[in-house]
Amino acid sequence: MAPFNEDTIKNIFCEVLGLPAQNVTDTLAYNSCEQWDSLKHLQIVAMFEESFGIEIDMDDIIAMETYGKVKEILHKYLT
Amino acid sequence: MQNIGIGTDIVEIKRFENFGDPQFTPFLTRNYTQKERDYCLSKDAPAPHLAARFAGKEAVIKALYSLHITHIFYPAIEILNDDRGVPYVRINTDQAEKISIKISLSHNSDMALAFCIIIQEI
Repeated sequence: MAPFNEDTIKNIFCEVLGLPAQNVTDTLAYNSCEQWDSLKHLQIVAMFEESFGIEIDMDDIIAMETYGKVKEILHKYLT
Repeated sequence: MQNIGIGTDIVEIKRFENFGDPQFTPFLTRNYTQKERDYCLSKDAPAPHLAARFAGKEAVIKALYSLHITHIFYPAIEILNDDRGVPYVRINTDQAEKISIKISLSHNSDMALAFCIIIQEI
């Protein structure tokens, strides 16, 4: 398991959603970001699992509704 | 007595055309079963088949949610084809549900869609 690294998390978001880093803030939300739909969400989750060597529970995948919440959930797995 | 759940989904096929990219591989491995990947990737043009199955899984999840069944997620939903090419859904989970699932998949050159009906015995 790799350690918690916010740069890696943000890079995955930027790469999958095609957003510049300055647009990826804690308030970026699934419901209000045009690029962040269910397909992209699952791509992001799969890349987290691959990059950090973890398996994320279904409940946590559903709870990842904002970038801030994503970091909070990943912190739980990586510490 | 029975409850009926329905779900539908539509997705752009072009979003699956980069299935060979490293960025896409973990998504495929996590959300499609080996049999699904074998089937889709055996086609000359896998993208419509990958897209239709993704729409199918979304449609199944929506139908399940309409019946308040929330513990079944993408990797456990397997959409295969019978000998006649008719798609069917298999739920790979230990928590058995008394449900019967019917699904229909379709696509044109741009979009893939799915419609699902679930009958739950109560």
